[in-house]
Amino acid sequence: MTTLKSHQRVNTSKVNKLSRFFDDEKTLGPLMVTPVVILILSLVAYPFVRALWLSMTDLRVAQAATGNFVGIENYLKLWNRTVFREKVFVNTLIYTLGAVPIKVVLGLILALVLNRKRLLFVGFFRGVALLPWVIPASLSILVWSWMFEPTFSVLNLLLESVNFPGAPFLWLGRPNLAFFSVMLVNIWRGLPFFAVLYLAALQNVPVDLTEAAKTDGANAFQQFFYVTVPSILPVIIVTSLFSLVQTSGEVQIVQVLTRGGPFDTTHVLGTYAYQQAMLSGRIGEGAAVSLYLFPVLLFVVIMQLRYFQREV
Amino acid sequence: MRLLSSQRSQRLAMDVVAYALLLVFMAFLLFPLYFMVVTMLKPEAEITSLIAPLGVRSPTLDNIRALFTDTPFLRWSLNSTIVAVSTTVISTSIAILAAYALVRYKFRGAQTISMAIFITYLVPSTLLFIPMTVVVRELGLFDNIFGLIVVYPTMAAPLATWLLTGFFRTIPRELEAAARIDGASYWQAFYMVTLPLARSGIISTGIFTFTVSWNEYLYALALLPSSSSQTLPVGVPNAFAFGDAFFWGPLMTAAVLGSVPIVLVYSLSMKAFVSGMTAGAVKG
Repeated sequence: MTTLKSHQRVNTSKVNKLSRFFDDEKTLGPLMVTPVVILILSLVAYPFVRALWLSMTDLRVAQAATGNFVGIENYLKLWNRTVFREKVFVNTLIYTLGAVPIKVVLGLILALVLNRKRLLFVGFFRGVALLPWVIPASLSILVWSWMFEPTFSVLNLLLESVNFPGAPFLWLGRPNLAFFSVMLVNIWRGLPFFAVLYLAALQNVPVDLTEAAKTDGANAFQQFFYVTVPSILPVIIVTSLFSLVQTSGEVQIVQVLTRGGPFDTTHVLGTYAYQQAMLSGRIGEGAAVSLYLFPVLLFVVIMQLRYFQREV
Repeated sequence: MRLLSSQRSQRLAMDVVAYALLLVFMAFLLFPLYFMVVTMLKPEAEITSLIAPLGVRSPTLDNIRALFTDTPFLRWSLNSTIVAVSTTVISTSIAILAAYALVRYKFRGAQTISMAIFITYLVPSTLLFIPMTVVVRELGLFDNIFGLIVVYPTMAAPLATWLLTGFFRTIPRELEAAARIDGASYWQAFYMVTLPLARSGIISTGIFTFTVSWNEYLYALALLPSSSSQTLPVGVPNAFAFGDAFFWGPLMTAAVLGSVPIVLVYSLSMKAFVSGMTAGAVKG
């Protein structure tokens, strides 16, 4: 009986020591971040290094697990290929630098409209405006393929009914128009995201600020450009940077609507990488295509970190 | 008096402009969704006739039946559910621990880790999907939904950590300090005091994580080549590409039904959704 008791006592003191060891933020902190650190190291950092390595090999799926080291040959080969340089690369550039500013401007206009509390059912409209962004994109893009369908395009029917010049259109059949259609869908899907974030920012603009400007005799436009825009500028910058990465990395809209066609004219980096690596089996080359996106990410990370550090 | 009436007419003019803009924006944003639902309810003859394209003359459920009998829609839904629920549970749990520690505890490397999480959150999957297929193949999880359950936390956990960091910051430290004075350990203070208080934040983070995984396209496209293992966002568009007929009716039905869970979740917790978005995109 007594031995048992002493044994128990030893045990509890051990437990106490152990629990005291864990009862310390210097121990508990690192322990609690371990899972996320392992996740990032093994499934983000490691694949990234792997991508750099792959992009410098001639690996093909059919070949053995490792390809031969070829240095920057893949990057050069791509750059010397007309389709890549004149279509894939330029398209990504136009797509990003075109769609992001349009989404910013239209998003801001929509946010200003939705910020007018006097409008009837404004709460309802605020809610439904976000729907295009909320629902799965690859599914909602399908309704656009249906609306762009050559024979039964409802958009053509509507445009023809008002005698729109040039209608009916082959939305996805002609190179320039197909690229426009793809961009239109990007704007459709991205616009609500911008609008809702700007709306949230507008609601945080202090009322006294606009009131003060009003009493000083500022008209609506002056109020907007000298009071409203400066107060929500941080939000505008951060959303634009975020969207820069997302838009330049586009895959699904192009993949679902055109698959890069007609004649490879609507490819962007993401879809071309998919085509090269997954469909043609040129893993090394595909990895190099994706990495052409890296400078955009680098730029955005640097810009964001400057902002981020100011926040902290 | 005259000033007042001019102000009033100015305000009226602004209202007219606002309503006109609202109409244009809503038509642009919502028409595709309306057309999706209308097409779902149309019989085939009406879909391929040009009469009354905007309405339905004799609504039918044939498309829903065709979707469930002729395509693996049920299978895809099941796959999507398994992946999204698992990702949500895994990512949110990982994120709760990390976010809490990063907000409350001082320890070496905390700053670096926050920054790494933040950068990870920005990395687009377009940059990583090719090496990811190689890695997932090596893990033996290629063409298997468990591959997605391994990969999705890389997008969802950093996002969730970021959101939760914001929520934990709003919970006052004093409550934990009081619990500690009453003899609670650090872990107990976290587990029994702060965690219950963060419930609404955890729920909205979970909702956001669920949405991200339910909607994900590129990894699913690259990692799941065979139809039966696919999730909704990839299975449905691929069926359209490889099917021999353009079955727009069932296709639009799939688009509507595949969006229902997200719309439901969104309508139940719109506020949480928007605050998550604001925290996620603006602070992040």
